[in-house]
Amino acid sequence: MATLLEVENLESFYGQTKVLRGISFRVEKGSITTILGANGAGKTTTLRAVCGMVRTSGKILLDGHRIDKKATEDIVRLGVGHVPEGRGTFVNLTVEENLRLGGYIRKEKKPMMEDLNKMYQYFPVLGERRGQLAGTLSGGEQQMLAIARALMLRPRLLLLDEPSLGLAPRIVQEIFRIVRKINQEEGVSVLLVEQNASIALDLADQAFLLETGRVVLSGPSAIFREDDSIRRSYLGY
Amino acid sequence: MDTFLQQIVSGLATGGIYASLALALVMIYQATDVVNFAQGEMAMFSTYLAWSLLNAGVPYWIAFFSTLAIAFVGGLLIERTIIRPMENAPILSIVIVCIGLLVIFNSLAGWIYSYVIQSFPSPFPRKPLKIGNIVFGLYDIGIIGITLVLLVLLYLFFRYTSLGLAMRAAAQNPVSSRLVGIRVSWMLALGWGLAAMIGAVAGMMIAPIVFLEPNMMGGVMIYAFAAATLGGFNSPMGAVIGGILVGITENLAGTYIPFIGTDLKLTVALLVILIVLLVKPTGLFGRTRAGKMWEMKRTPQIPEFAGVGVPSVHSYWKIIGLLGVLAVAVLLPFVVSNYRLFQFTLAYVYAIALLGLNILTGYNGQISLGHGAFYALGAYTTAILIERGEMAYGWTIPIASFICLITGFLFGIPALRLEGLYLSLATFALALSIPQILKYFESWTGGVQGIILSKPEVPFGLPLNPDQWLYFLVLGILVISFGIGWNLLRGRVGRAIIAIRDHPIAAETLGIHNALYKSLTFGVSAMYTGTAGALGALVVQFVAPDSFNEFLSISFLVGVVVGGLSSISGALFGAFFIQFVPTYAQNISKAAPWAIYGIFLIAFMYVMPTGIAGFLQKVRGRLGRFRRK
Ligand SMILES: Nc1ncnc2c1ncn2[C@@H]1O[C@H](COP(=O)(O)OP(=O)(O)O)[C@@H](O)[C@H]1O
Ligand SMILES: [Mg+2]
Repeated sequence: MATLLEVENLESFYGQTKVLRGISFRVEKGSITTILGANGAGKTTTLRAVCGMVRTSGKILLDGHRIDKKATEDIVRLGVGHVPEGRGTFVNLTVEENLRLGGYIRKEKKPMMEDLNKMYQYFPVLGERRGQLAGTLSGGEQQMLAIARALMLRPRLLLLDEPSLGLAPRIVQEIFRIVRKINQEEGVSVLLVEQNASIALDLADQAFLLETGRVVLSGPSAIFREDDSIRRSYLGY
Repeated sequence: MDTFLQQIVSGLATGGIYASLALALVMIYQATDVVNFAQGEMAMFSTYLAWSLLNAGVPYWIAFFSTLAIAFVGGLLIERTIIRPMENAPILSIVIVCIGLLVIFNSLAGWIYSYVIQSFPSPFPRKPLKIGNIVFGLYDIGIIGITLVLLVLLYLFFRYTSLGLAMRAAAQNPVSSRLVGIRVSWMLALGWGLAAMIGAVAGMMIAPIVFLEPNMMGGVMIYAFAAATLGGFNSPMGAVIGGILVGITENLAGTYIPFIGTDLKLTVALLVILIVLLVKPTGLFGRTRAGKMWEMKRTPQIPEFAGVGVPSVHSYWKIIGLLGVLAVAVLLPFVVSNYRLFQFTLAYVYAIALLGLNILTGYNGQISLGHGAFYALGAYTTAILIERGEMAYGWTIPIASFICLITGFLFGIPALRLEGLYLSLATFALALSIPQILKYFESWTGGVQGIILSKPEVPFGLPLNPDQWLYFLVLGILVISFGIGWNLLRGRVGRAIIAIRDHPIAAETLGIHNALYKSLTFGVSAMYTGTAGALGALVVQFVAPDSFNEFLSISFLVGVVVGGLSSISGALFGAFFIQFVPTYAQNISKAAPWAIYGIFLIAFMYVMPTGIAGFLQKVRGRLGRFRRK
């Protein structure tokens, strides 16, 4: 399998504080990779770094091209869809406007409108509420909207930051089912950050574990799932 | 009935112009969170460009659309070159940059085109159209038509094009906008371009009525601000309706309320707005609270006298430094000319006024664009007591202070309801109406003529001339005011008012009575500024309505921001800036002194976005770190 995202010796800073201390990992084309780790380990920061939202040093390559010095909007234009922590929907715009914005950078508007309908099929709730302001949606609906908005971009790489946070288990399952479907049917590679390790490992092909800004373990997710000592000491289930 | 309808029709026409300018304001505000005080002057300048084209023989509509194109590009360039570098500066510093732009454009227009009034052609015939007993000017209908077309086009643009959608998104949530690939900073530039274009339309529509001259937009802009405030600063539709309402109110009030006539027209319009704001603090159509950034939280707090408490070598040097400065100040009257001395005296007066404004705006986060009003109140109290009451001048100063304290406190109570931007605009309305009010109460204030005071006598047979005595009097009060201010601000009270600025909800839960503290702060702030006003009247020996116009209030704000917000010494730096830099600019260029002043202003904000005091603090911090290494 070819590599889509390659991160080498990545460091990242907020002001003077170093949060990532030289991490390296890969995301293969068409795969799902998950980042595990406790609160404050640097998972969100890793996703932000890939998107050029924080100051970094080290190398980030997308499909073999350096992106680590590029502006966020240019990285997005290369096909990186980011569903940020806290969802980041445009609360004062309607659901449909949010989705249209998702496809903002696409030149051809006709296939984009087709995708819009596809999103309404994936997430029928959004279709029912297309004229409603995004701020009036429930938490789960907003999460669906955030994911759908990122998909409107037709991303090659989808970054998901804790999509299950604060949602009912039934909705979490629904969201993960759709993520798997998108991955299988459209070949979108996914880099997933998740607190709920068991559900993330079920979905992912590869996994790595962050601890205070360092990668302490990485490998096929099956290894994480099956090794009792790893599970007990790092993942807590 | 006919007069009534007639007045409404004429109100509609002027209202249309206010509406289009208000629309431009609202657009920049929506796209960038900045209220562009230079909007009117940009419109005026565009109109002059159109006039040049027309003079060169270009047909009207070609000139019209070329001007729009030029204005668009100009607005875009201004954002790219002048506003962009200030992106991360505190919002008030950006406002000061806009004020700098305002004076530059005004001064440049005067320099290039002179202050001679020019006529500007109208695209519509002057012919009246009579329906029943009501006369419609074809011209008025044209203006309304153009405003409507503009509004519809904008609505379609923002509602249905993806660029318009992206602009709205960028203004609401820049981070998420980047994540969908929107080039946010270009959207801001585009917002400036569009607004400049709308402004140009308004300028070309109004020029045939008010005639073309560099100050033509002054009066109109006031109504445009009023309209935007009335409608709600985040509603384009509100801006248009607000503009039309203001136009109609202005006309009706002038006709039907006998004692108003044309003298108090402006005051009444502004009063209406104040009332609307008090009932509905976000304007008629405004949705949420306006201006997250106008809540001042972006302003980095400059901890003043950080070393105090721990007696260190540092504070030891500070005391020596202060004594040195004081010694120089005491010796000054014996070495400089009387005129120079007068200038310094006035600078001290301003310093007291600025400290007052800084307590309110810097420390407490309530932005006032109307402190000139309290300055005027103090000045007139003193002048009237001396002239009409034959009181000794010494007694008038505490009385003026007290009156301003009470007035400020009372004004602070309704002001509690207003957030950020709306508070600053409400206070600006106050500043604007002061000259009219002063002229109106002629029997007390002497009307336009003002009141002339005689030079205070030197008491106790001191061996000083009157100028020197005044200097020392003002210096003494300055030292006392700063001493009191310093004590107040570094203690419990100071922490409370800062806490209210930064974390209003947390402050409330800590048992701080926010409302009481905020109105008290308003009162104390007004007291300082009013005291300065009283002293100012004595120093200048003259009060007249036009010395207390809105530029005084703006000057105060400039002084506070340039000097450094939330800094006691900043008030002094700021006072020297507003007292001496304009004179200095005059020496550089007699032809366009205000352009030079504007350039100074912008340059200052570039180099020191947190003001002079903030800059010195930073330098000191660097040096300290350097020494420790
Ligand atoms: N905006 C920020 N400014 C400063 N520090 C931050 C910011 N965001 C996160 N941090 C710090 O960076 C570290 C990693 O945070 P984060 O990447 O959000 O962790 P995770 O997503 O794994 O919980 C934490 O110690 C956190 O306090
Ligand atoms: Mg996180």
